[in-house]
Order: sequence, then structure tokens, then C-alpha cells
Amino acid sequence: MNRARCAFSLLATAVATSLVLAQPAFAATKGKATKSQSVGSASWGAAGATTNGSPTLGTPFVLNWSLITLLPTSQYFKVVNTGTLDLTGETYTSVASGGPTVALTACVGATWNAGLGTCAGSQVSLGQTGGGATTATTAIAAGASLSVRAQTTGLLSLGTFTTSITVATTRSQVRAGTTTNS
Amino acid sequence: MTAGFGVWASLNATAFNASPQAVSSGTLSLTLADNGAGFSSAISNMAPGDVVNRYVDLTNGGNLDATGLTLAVSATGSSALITDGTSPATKALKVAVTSCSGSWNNSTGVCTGSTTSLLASTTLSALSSAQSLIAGSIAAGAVEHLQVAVTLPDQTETTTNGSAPGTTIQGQTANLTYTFQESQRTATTTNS
Repeated sequence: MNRARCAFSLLATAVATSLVLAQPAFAATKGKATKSQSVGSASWGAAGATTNGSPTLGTPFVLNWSLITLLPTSQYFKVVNTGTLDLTGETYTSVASGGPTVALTACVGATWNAGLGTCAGSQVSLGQTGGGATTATTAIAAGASLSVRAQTTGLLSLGTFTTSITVATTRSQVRAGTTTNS
Repeated sequence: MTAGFGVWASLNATAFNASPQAVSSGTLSLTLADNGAGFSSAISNMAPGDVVNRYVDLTNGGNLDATGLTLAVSATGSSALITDGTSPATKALKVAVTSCSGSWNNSTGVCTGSTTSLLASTTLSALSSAQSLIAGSIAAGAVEHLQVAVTLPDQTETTTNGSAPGTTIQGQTANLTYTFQESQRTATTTNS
């Protein structure tokens, strides 16, 4: 009796297995095509630097003064385009720690001659200390810089003080979006 | 008493096809080719608001009709360009697909036939799962001439002293992997 039950059980298992194995496969064939592409975004920005130096990013550019003079005194520096897009303008804010008012003037199209105090290009005001933010349409190409003069004003320049110059560039100071085909 | 022996002869008849019947399965093949720069050339220096159109030809090269063409884009790299931390993303890259019944001029973006929008401008986060491009049938041998538009949405960021904001999209890179997929046509029963 036990042998018959065992034989029946084996037969049932075999039949069930064969039924499972006999199930037709309905998996649909897929066609696939894949490719990768790198996408990079541009950047825009500017910062002050000494005439022969590199900009220090993230902090205002600082000029140090120690003066006893009756005549206006000048220092020269540059504003470097630190991004990958051409700039159409920048916004300058100058803050003094004391002393006389300091005026900033860009030399567009040329470089200030520090020895003679002359500019062979056109002079554009970038504002002065205590005057709030000044937006200038001074274009700076990517990788290029703008020559700037900082000059004390008034008849008496006396004491030790600093001028901190912040340069901000907004989205609107670079080219508008374009559509390209290639 | 003699023993008798019987003879049982049986006759069998067999029918078969003298020539074997050939049975072959169909093929499904989807291939991608650049039309111009396509996907082989990187996109660089995108400014906010830029749209870069690239062109590819997608061929259903097997002998089976296909159905259900989809596109998924997986992205790695800068999260600012992929999700930008907002939902839905407003600053991150978007992708759109347009088909041309003729051919695309990859320099001018002009289609010689009529255009059909297959996918509206869609964020990369939405494209992480496959999106339908063509729900219906695609004939064997058909070529889809596609314009793939990559957009960096316009936005307002201010850079101060050469330092971009913390969540900037500036100077970022993402690697996009486009996966087009189709299925075989529906299986059929034929009589002939």
C-alpha cells in the first residue's frame, strides 16, 4: 500500500513538473540603443587683483593706504573675469575704513600707465567709497581683465586706512540664452 | 496432433514532407547614429537659457515591426544640473525630442518635412524612468530623424568676488546616458 502511494506521488510530481516546463514563453523581444553625452554649464564672475597677481576669490579686494599728502594719490589694480562667459558689465561697491573718499575709474580699451597716471583708452567711473553700488557697462571678455585706478579725492589725504572693493556680476551681465544646432 | 503457427503481418503507412519546412524567427534591432555632432560630441559652456539641439537617427533595423518607442535618460555628475534640489526641478537640465518626417539640417535646425513633438521639455529627474516617444507601430526598416534639445533653464544667480552661490549651476558637469527602447510588434496567429 505504501509502495503504491509512493509511486502515485512520484507520478504526480513528474506530471506537475512537466506542466510547468511546458509553459510557453511570451517574453517580447526588445530593441535598445544607448549613448552617453557630457553636458557642462558656463560660469560668470569677476574679482579684483593686483596688477600682476591673481584674484582672491570670495573676499573683497583690499587696498591699503598710508598717506600724508595734499595731492590726490592713486593705486592701480585690475578686475579679472573669473568665469567662462564674456561680461557686459559689473557692479562695484567700495567701502572705506576711514580717510578720504576714494574714487574708482576704469581704463577701457587700454591699461592705466601708473607712472604717468594716464589712460590711452576711455575712462569710466566705477563709483567711490560711500557711494553705494555702482553698475558699469564695462565689458570684460572671458580670460581678460579691466585696468582700474583708485584715487583719493580732496585736498588732504591723511592717515592709514583701507578700501575694500566688492565686484558682483549678475545673470543679466552675461549674454542671453541662445539656441544652437550642431 | 500438429501444432499450428499463425503469421500476423501488419501494414504501416507514413506521410511526411519530403522537403523540410523552413522556420525562421524575426529580428528586432534598434540602432542609433549621429547626424552631425549628435551625442558623440560633448556640450560645454551652457549659459542659462541656452538650448543646444543635437540630431540623431534611430533605425528600426530588424525585419520585425516594433512598437512603443521610449526614452530614458540616466544622469550622473552635478546634482545641480540633475535635480537642483527642488521638485519639480526648475534650474536643472531638460530634454525635449522632436521628430522630422524628412531630414534635419543639423546646422540650421530646419526640417525638410513636418515635425512632430515626441517629448516636451522634460526634467532629467522625470526622465530617470522611460518616457513614451511613439506609442504606436514603427515599421521594420523605419528611420526616426530626431532632434534632441538640451535646455539649461534661465535663472538669476549673482557671483560676488568671483565666488558663485552655494547652490550654483555654474561650472557644473553632468553625464547623460540616453537609452532608446522599443518592443517587438504584438505576436499574431496567422493562417495560410
